[in-house]
Amino acid sequence: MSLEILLALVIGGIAGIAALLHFLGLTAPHRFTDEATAVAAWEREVPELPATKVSLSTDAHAALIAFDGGHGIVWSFGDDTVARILGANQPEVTQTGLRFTFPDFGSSNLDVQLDEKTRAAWLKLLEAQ
Amino acid sequence: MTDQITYPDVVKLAVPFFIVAILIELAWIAIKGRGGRYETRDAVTSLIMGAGNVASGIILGFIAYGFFMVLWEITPLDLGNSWWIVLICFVLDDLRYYWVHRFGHRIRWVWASHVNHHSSQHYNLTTALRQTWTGTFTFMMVVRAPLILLGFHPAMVLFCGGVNLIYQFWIHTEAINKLPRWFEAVMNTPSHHRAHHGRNARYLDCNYAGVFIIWDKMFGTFVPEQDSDRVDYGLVHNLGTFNPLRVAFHEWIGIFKDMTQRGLTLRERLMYAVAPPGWSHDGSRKSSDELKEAHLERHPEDRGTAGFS
Repeated sequence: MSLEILLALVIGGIAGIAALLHFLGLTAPHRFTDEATAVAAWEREVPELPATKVSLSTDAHAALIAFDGGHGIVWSFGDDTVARILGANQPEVTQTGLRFTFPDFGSSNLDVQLDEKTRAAWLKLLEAQ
Repeated sequence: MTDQITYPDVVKLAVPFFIVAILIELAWIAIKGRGGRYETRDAVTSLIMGAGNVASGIILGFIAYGFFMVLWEITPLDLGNSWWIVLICFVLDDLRYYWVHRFGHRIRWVWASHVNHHSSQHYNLTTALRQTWTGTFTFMMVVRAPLILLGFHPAMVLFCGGVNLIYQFWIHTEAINKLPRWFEAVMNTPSHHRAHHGRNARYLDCNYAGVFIIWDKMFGTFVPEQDSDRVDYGLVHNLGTFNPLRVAFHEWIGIFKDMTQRGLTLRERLMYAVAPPGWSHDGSRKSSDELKEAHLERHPEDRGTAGFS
């Protein structure tokens, strides 16, 4: 198989499958239906640190989790969820909420949508840790 | 000595088959409403990783092939090119695959390359194509050296490796449940490989087989998929990115950061590269053995069951 044909197949295949998946409605991000689902997502990934408190983001795509001795965040990632324990670094305040950065290269920055009241509450919780 | 043997590059030839099979699986899931899950960005990331794997093979493949040809020059043995020699080569190369795959889960340096194949939380035919870009840097080509020194031509060995990879494509699916017992007993199947992709404590470090599951049964790493413990796909600490560059290189960067921490002994620095994933000098992380033990502390009723014996 020539390189030209291989290239066309690969690019066409990826683009075609991506378009098909999108039109089938398979791009919609996961949303936490309530606090219990956020806690379940957290404990799926960090079972050794049970959640003691949870606060959902305004768009229900993320949740701040408190556990004994610290805080973590769980967020929707495609159709799934990801969780991280938060360190001492405070998130950056943005126009729409908060931006979290993580020390590991396996996580991109996370922008969380929060109204002003919820953002203030999250910051207060995080500063208290 | 047979110097000029050519075999087709079966992985490249299989690309149209891969695309058609993905479309069939997707149609099956859409029509039946079961048999797996697809998500656009996850699937696109997997496909880009697959394309990058082919590209890295084109760019870096000469390193392994050059190494194999040096061995071929050295060895006085030449087993020829008959069909039964190809068959024996295929079986022995599958044994080679088992060990490379096992090293890939037990040595962090090799895991840094293999981790991306496990980084999707989905399990469908695109996951099969989520392959490494950095396999050359693991130096696992040395595990093929005995085959070539025994007299199997490098082109034949690479052909068998390609067929092995194509076999493994179709087992990355939830659309097929269990196959006939005789087949499940001998061959790697969707069920066995689903267990391998599990992040559940039970399924960590099991079912390394490529084509024949008998290797896991021989070497004590076989864990059958349990109806009572549904496989949760992905990594113990799942990735929070669809960026292919982050997917490809995150563990290598993790190794670099760990090895260059201040205040470590030379042994500790080395261990961050060669110890099993999860090893840490201060015990702040957990290896798969420790994760299993932690699970058993929370669920003592699982002790002695499959994957916890």
